[in-house]
This record gives sequence, C-alpha cells and structure tokens, in this order.
Amino acid sequence: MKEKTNSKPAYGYIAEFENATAIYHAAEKVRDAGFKRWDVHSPYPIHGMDAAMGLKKSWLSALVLAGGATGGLTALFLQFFTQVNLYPTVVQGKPTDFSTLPAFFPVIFELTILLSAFAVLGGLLVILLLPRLNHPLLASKTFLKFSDDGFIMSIEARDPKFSRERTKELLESLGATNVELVEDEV
Amino acid sequence: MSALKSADDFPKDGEALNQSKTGLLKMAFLFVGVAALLLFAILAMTGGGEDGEVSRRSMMAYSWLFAVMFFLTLAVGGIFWTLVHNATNSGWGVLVRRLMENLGSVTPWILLLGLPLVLSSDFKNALWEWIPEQAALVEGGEKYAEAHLESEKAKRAKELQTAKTDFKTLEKVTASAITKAGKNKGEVSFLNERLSHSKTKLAELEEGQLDDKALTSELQVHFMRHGDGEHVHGNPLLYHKSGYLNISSWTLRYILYVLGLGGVIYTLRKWSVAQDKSGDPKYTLMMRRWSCGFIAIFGICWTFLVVDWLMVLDYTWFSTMWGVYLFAGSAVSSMALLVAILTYLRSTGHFKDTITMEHYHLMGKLMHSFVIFWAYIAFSQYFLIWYANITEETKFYLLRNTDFFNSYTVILLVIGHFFIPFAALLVRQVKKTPKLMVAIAAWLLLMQIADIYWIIIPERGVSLTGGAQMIIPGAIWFDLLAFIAVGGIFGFLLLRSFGKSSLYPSQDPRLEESLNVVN
Amino acid sequence: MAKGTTDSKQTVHPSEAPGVKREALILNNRSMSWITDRVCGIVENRQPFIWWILFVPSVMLAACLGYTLVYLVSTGIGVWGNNQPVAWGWAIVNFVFWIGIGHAGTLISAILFLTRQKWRTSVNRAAEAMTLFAVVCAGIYPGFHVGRFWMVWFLAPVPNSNEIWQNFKSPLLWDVFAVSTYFTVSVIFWYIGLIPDLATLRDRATTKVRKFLYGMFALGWRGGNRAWKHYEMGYLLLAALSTPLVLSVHSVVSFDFATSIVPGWHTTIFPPYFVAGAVFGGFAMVLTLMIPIRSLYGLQDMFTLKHIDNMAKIILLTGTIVGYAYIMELFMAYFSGNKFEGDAFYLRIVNGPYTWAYACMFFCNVIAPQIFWFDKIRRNLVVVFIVVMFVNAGMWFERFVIITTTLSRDFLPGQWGYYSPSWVEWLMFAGTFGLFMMLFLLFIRFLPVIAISEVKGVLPESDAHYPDWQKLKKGRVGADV
Repeated sequence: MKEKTNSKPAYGYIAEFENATAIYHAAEKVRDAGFKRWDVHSPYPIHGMDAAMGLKKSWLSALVLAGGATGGLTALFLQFFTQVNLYPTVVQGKPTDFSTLPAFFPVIFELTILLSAFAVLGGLLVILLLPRLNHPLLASKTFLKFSDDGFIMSIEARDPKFSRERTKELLESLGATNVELVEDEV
Repeated sequence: MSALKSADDFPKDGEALNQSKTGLLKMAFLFVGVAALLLFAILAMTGGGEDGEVSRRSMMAYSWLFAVMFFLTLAVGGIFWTLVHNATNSGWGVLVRRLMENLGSVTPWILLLGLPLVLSSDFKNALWEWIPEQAALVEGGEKYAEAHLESEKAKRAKELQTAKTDFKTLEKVTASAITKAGKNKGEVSFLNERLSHSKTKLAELEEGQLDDKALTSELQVHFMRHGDGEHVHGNPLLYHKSGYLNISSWTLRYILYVLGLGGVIYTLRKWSVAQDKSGDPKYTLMMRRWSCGFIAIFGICWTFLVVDWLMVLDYTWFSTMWGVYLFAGSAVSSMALLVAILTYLRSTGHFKDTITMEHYHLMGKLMHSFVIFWAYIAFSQYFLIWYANITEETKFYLLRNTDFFNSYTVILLVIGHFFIPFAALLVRQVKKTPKLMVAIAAWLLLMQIADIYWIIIPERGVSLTGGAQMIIPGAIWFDLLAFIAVGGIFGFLLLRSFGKSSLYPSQDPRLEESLNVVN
Repeated sequence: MAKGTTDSKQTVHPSEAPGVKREALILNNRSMSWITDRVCGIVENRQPFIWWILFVPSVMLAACLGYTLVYLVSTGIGVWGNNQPVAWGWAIVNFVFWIGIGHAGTLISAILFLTRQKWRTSVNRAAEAMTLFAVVCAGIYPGFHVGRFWMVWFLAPVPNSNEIWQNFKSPLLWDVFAVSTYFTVSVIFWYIGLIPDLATLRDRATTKVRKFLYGMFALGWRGGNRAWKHYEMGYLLLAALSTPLVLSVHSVVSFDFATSIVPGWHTTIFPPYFVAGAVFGGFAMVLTLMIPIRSLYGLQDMFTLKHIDNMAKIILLTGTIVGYAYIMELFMAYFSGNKFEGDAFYLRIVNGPYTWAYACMFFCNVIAPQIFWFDKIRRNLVVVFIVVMFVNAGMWFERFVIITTTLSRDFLPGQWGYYSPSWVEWLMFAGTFGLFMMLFLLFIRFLPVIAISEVKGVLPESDAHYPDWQKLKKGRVGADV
C-alpha cells in the first residue's frame, strides 16, 4: 500500500455555504442521511447547531465537577492536617479542632474553583485533541474562510457512508456554493 | 425547529383565569384563613394571663410576627422581581411578569395584617423590649423630674449664689494680688486666667438656671441615662437610640413602608394592566424608567422595615448586612413561589401554548443564583461576627446556635437552604422539568419558613421568661395557627389578584421575545 | 412635514417603537469580514503615532517602578512612609485599588455572559486584559510589603525544615490563595476566549513568524461545531466558576479588614460592599480605556454609544449600592451606640485629619455618578469620561479613607499619628500606572482588542432562525426587514 503516488488519499469533502441558515438546514439533512464523521465549521458557535447535527450534550461538566471536588477535598485535607495535626496554634481565640471549619472555608472555596478551572482547560484540550499544530483541512484556502465569514461543512472520507460521487452530489444538492476535495497529509 | 410564534396569533385580551377551576381553592383559602384568623383573635383576646406568668397573648405576638413576616418576604420578592424585570429591559420574562406583579400587589395587604403588631400594646410590648423599657424610662423620668424639680432648682440657685459671692471675693483678691505682683508677668497672667476661669463657671451656672419646662426635660434625660442614682438604673444605650427608636417615628415609618412599597407596586401594576387594553408602548417606557428610581424606594423601605421589625427584637444587637440578608431570602423564596404558582396555573389549563420549558429553565437559573447569593450573604454575616467575636454581636448567634436551635441551624439552614437546592439546581435537566422544579420550590419555601422562624422565635423564650426557658412548650401551635391564618388570606388575595386581569401582559410589545425565548 | 412625522409615529408597530425596539449592537449593518478586517487590522497594521506617544512614557514610568522596587528591597521597607500607628499605608490602599479594578473584566465576561447580555462581547476582551494587568499591579504591593521579599515563598504551604505551617485562619493567607487563584483563572478564561481569534489571526497571517506564533497559540483551532459544543460548555463553566470567584476575591480582601475588631473596619456589610465597589471602579476603568480606543482605532460601530450607555447604567447602579453601604455604615455606627464605631465615623466625616478624603470619596462615588440618571448624559462621551475619572479617583479615596483614617486614630490617643506617603510610594504608584499602560498598549499591539468570534455571534444574521424573524416582522412599520 505504501507505493509512492502523486495523489494522496482523500481526507474528505469540504463544502462552503452561504450563511448560517443555509448550513443549519444542510446539517439537518446530513444528520438524517446518517453520516457520523462530519462537522460544521463556522466563525462562531451557531445556536441550536447541536440539535441540527444530532450532537449530545457535552460531558465536560462532569469532568469539572470531579476537578472541583478534588480541589475542595485537597484544601480541606491540607488545612486540617497542618492546622489540627501538625502545627496546631491558637490564633485569634480560634480553637484548633473541627469547630474552626468556617475559617477554612475561604481556602476550600478558592482551591475548588482553581482545580475546576484547570479541569476546564485540561478537559477541553483532551476532548478536542488539541493542541494540534497541523491539520489537512488547514491546507485548504477555502477552508480557512471559516475563521472569517465562511460557513464550511466537512465530511471525512473515513465515514462509512462516504462516497466520492454521491457525497459530492449530496452536498451540492444541499445548496453548497463550493465543494472541494481535501487531501490527507501523509 | 418550528416557525416562530407571532404575538398576533394570541388573543389581544390575553388569557383570563379559569374561575371554575380555581374558584374553589380561592374560597377554601379564604374560609380557612378567616376561620384561623378568628380563632387566633379569640385566643389572643382572652389570653391576657395573670401577673408573673407568661401570657398566651405575648406568646402569640411572636407567632403573628412570624407569619406576617414570612408572607411579607414572599410578597415583597414579587415587587423586587417586577422592578428588576422592568429596569433591566427584560424580554424573556414578559409572560411571567404579571405573576410577579400580582404577587407584589399583595404586599400592602400583608403589611396591613401586621397592624395588630403596631396597634396592640400587648403585642408590641411582648415583641420589642425597647418599647416598654422606653415607656418605663419616660414615665420614671417624669416622676423623677416632678419629684426633683424644686430641690434641683433650689440647689442650682444656691450654687449660683455661692459662686457669685466667691467670684466677688476673688475679684478683690485678684485686684490686690496684681498690684502686689507688679511686673511679674507670669504671675499676672495666672491671676487673670484664674479670674476668667471662674467667670466662665459663673456664666455656666447662670445658664443652668432654667425655667421649669427646660429643667424638667433635663432631669428626664438625666434619669433615662443614669437612673435616679438609688434604685433604678438608667439605660444610656436606649437613650442614645431614642432618636431613631421612639414609638411615634416607629409608627410613622410603618405608614411610610405601606405607602412606599404599596405605591410602587400599585403604580407599576396599574400601568401594566392599562397596556393590556391599549397596547401603547409608552407604558413599557414608563415602567422601565420609573422602576429604576423605584428600586431606591424599595431598598430603603425594605431595609428599615426589617430593622424596625426584626433586628430590634433585641435592640442591643446590630448588623449592617441585615437588610441585604432578609432581601436575599425574600428574592429566592418568592422566585420559588412564582415557579409553584406557574405550575399550578398550568395544571389548571392555563398558559397552554405560551409557557415553555425555557421559561422554567430561566426561572430555575434565577432561583439557583439567588440560592448562592443567600448563602454568600448568610455566610459573610455569620463569619464576620464569629471571627471578630465581639459580645454585643455574637449574642444573636449564641442564642440561635445553642440547644435545639443549633442542630436546626446547621442541618436546616446550611444544608437545606444551600447545599441541597444548590446541588439539585446544578443539573440542566432538572430546571427544565416542572415537577422537579416545583419540588425544589416547595423545599425552598419550607427553608424560608425555617429561616424566618429561626430569626424570630428563639427570642420568644428568652424575652418572655427572662432567659429561664429557651423554648416555651406548646407555643408552636400558635405559630401554626398564625401561619394558617395569614397564609389563607395570602392565598386568597393572590388568587383574587389573578382573576382581575389577564394572566400575562397580552399587549406588551416584547411579548414575542418571551414567546420565542431560547436559552 | 410635521403632519407626516406624527402619522408615521402612530403607525409604527408597538414592538418597533422608539425605546422599545432593541438597538443594534453592531451599527451600519457591518459584515463579518468587515469585523475581522477592522479588528485584525489593529494588530496587522502600523500603530498610530499616538500609540508611541503613550507607550514611551509608560515604559519610562514602568522603569521607575522597577527602580523603586530595587531601592526598596536593597534599602528596606522603611523607605515607605507607613509606620506605627498607620502600619498599612499606600501599599494596601493601592493593592485594594488595583485588585478592585481587576474585577470588572471577569465580571463583564462572566456575569454578563451568564445573564446573556449580548452587548458584553464588544468589551469583554479588553476588560479581561485590563483585569490581568491590574492584578499584576496589585500583586506587587503585598508581595513587597512582606518586607523580606526573598522570603515570600513562606506564604506557600510547602514543607520546610522549621516544620512551621502557615496560619490558615489568617485573612492575609486567604488573600494569597484568593488573588493567585483569581489571576490564574482569569488567565485561563482570557486565553480560552482568545483561541478562536488567534486562529483568525493565524489564518490571515502573511509572515512566517506570525503564522508560527499565532498558530502555536491557536492550538490548531478549526471552528468545528463539535469543538464549539465543548468550547461553549467550557466557557459557560468558567463563567459560572468565575462569578463566585469574583465575589469571593474581593470578599476575602474585605475580610482583611472586617474580621478585625477595628472600628470602621469591622462591619458585616463589607463583603458585598467591597464587591460592588470593585465592579464600580472596574467599569470606570474599562470606560476610561475604551472611550479613547474606540475613536482612535475606528471601533465606533462595534463599541457603540449603546455599550457606553449600558456601562454608565451599571456604574450608576453600583455607585448607588456603594452609597447604600456608606449610609448603612453610618446608620449602624449611630444605631449600635458603640462609642468607638461612632468616633471612627466622626473622625472620618466631621472632625479628623482626613475629612477631605472622605468628602472626595463621597462626592466622586455617590454624587457624581447620579448624573447618569439622564439619558442624554450617558451618551455624551465628554461627560461620561469626566465622571468615570471621578469614579477612578473616588475609589482610590475610598480605600485611603478606610485604611488611613482608621489607623491614624488608634484606641489609645497617645498612639495617634498622621500618615503621609514618601516619595518612594508616590513614584511606585505612578510606576504601576506606567506598567499597567505599558501592558495594555502591548496587548492592543499584539492581540485582538475585541472578541471577534463573539461579536460575530451577536449579529442578527448569525442566528440560524434569522429568516424566521424576518418573516415574523414583515410588514410592520419601523422594522428592519
């Protein structure tokens, strides 16, 4: 398979649409056609696109809840361990036992937030498989319009429903103004 | 996604309350409320009690304050949400705005239900110690002044006489001493100073020769601050506060609260209903503009209302956060009540095509944020008082964090008023499920009852028994009775207000935004 | 003519009536590519001459800051004017001042995001950047106030050979956690918001260096809606986390004062009062920066008078809340009957060494913003600019009043003193402004000053259901169809 040829394998099609409404309705059709490996690239998140693409709710929130819990428990442990066990000091008439809990609350709160925020950043990078410095799509001049004012749909060749002819026809029938085949990087 | 809803497809006169479905409940509320009210009144009137024991009437004063205060927080929250809706130029909430207005419009009635607290001196004396104590001080002061007027007058006259003679002698002595001193400048100036000093003293004494009226009031003040020096102690603190805490200005302020809060919601609701008929957008502008200013009236009235009725249950205690704390609880619980009302109305066949789960979601978010806000304010207030540990402040919590009320505080208020609703409302799907939302709303209302109960009732045992008993057994039944009485009337008034106009502002120019809201 | 106007007034559809109709957030029907060009143009083109006029003195002032810090560390903390009884002088005043300014950014980003205030998109980027730079300026003060700066690591709970642990019951330690958490989370929030715009800059880059640098920081963003879904969730979560964080940070700062038993400091309303004050001062600083920037870089269509109007309203609201807190403090100082509390306010207002500061504070914070009740004033740039300058000064005076008046009059009259700052403090304070301006000007130079992708999202045609709305409003007089 590793023979040297001029034509690289196809990554998939990209199709440009006129505006948000057009790509929104096109996405509903593509979803109903049963495609799995496809995406809609836009300069901003299009409201309601999740439903149009048939996407489930993001599970990032679960990750962040775990992050927050870790932060809170860490702070609780850190403070109890150091203030009650290791180095108990009576300051400002506050006891060195469980009833000092209110005084520990600010740090518990801050660390909960801090680790939740780390979970957001880390979770996003992991879920989105970023950072990625290069990508086949970024080689296409048409595709790069997505960060300006382009509404671009991409359907990957890896999708079981993908076919060079029919997928192109489908995209054109949905009102794409410009359909382009993107090569994979090898 | 279906097409958008157009306001033109909905009837111009909105949706009327289905009286056949809600009328029974309304009358049931009225009947139960009035019956309980009568029973309560009879029990209170006959419960004078004998000397030396805690009278039923004084226990019932606390019950009444608790019931009135709880429903007042709900109603006042309605005013708050109306104001916020108008002032923020909100579009999504148009459909539920009339519910807020109706809830708010009950406020003046509930305040009038508080009249027994203002009029009945037994109620007042049982609740607010400063009133009988001040009255006693004033009375004692009058007697003291009467008794001491002549002797004080004579004493002062005599003092003046002596001082005058002394001064004359001193003048002569000084004159001769100055000639003796000659050129000793220090000596001369000392002598002169001594003379002028006693001249000032003389002038002071002369000023002290007051007429009867002025002297009487001076003696009264003296009595209030220092007592008679023998048997009765004065109360300098209460005297210090009497500029604010005196019965006439306290009553006047009550009238101002009724006028202020009632006037705000009456005006806004009037404009809102007028728009239902004419559809004139000028009302929208008027409501927005005036609401901004009304917020100031609302804030001032509410802050001082809770100072006058709740904070001074122990007049020696104080907290700058108090108004904000009561406001936070009021906002969250009235939003909970709005959710409950909305669901009730939907279950009786109203709001069929208008209200969607998006509205529930938004109301859930507001509820959630104010649960957090309440916790923030409650924690800050507790925390600062706990940390600084100053006796005059900690007494509030000492009373409420001991014995029975301790577990009550921690378990109900900390866990129940914050952690449980906070966790439950985190989930998006919960906020879009009316049944769960109503459950949470009911829970939050229960917690608001607990909060108000916790603020008022611990004072009862301590105040009435002089600290001998924390809790007066059996008094809880009066609390329940008062709650049913005020609650019944509250429910009746609320349902009645719904029947008076369309259930939503049918010709509000922003109606379409609310019909099609997505978040 | 007159008849014609009244006629058209009568027939305007109620939902399109003046005052009711929603004002456009982006004026002149600007297209998405226009927005991209205009914002990216600031970064890609040469800076106007005035940028250099501002930048060079800012760098010089920042250098002064560096000089004073070196002088401070090498000589000792005694070069500051604070001493007994005023142990907390300008260092803490300026710390609280800067950290307060640093609250508007996260507030605009987070709270306004949660409440779906779409107008935030034009201001949030600059406000967030301002936040970070303000927190940097703020952090300098407590960092150096510890005295022996090289021992600052003692603040962190790390095991050490003395087996000493921090006192977690101390408000000052909470400050360390709160401020560092705030800075970190703000950076994350800011950076996540920047990613799509960095991708835009990457895709427009013409030089290799730009392509590489922006490309690296854009992390390979491709704007797929599968990614946007998680991104939006992440952004929402960060907003939801930042909102209580903003509240907590300034509440913790207020705990520094309010947990004590010092008259004038110990009062329960301090946490929300400080938060409202911080938002107040922060919004004023955002307006101070954005009003010149919008005309300098031609951003009037994105940062409109509507935005300024809204921000003026928030300044009015928070200013009034601050006024409420002042009044409550005063009322309780009287009502409590506490002699010391009463005296603290007597010294502040009636007869004390710093009554002028209290008067300045009250005028700037409570009275001056009241002019924003008038619609026309809120849209008059000159007046708005003057008022926000008052607010900036007023918030500084507030901290000065709280700290200095109280400390200069201790419980023991024998300890009374007067505080005046030394030249080092003056220079340091000026230096932090230099540092702040320098960082902000660099931000304008290298990063998009407006959140491009977010602004595009609030254009009316960005809504996939835009045609439906068009259809709904068709035929209505006054509608933009």
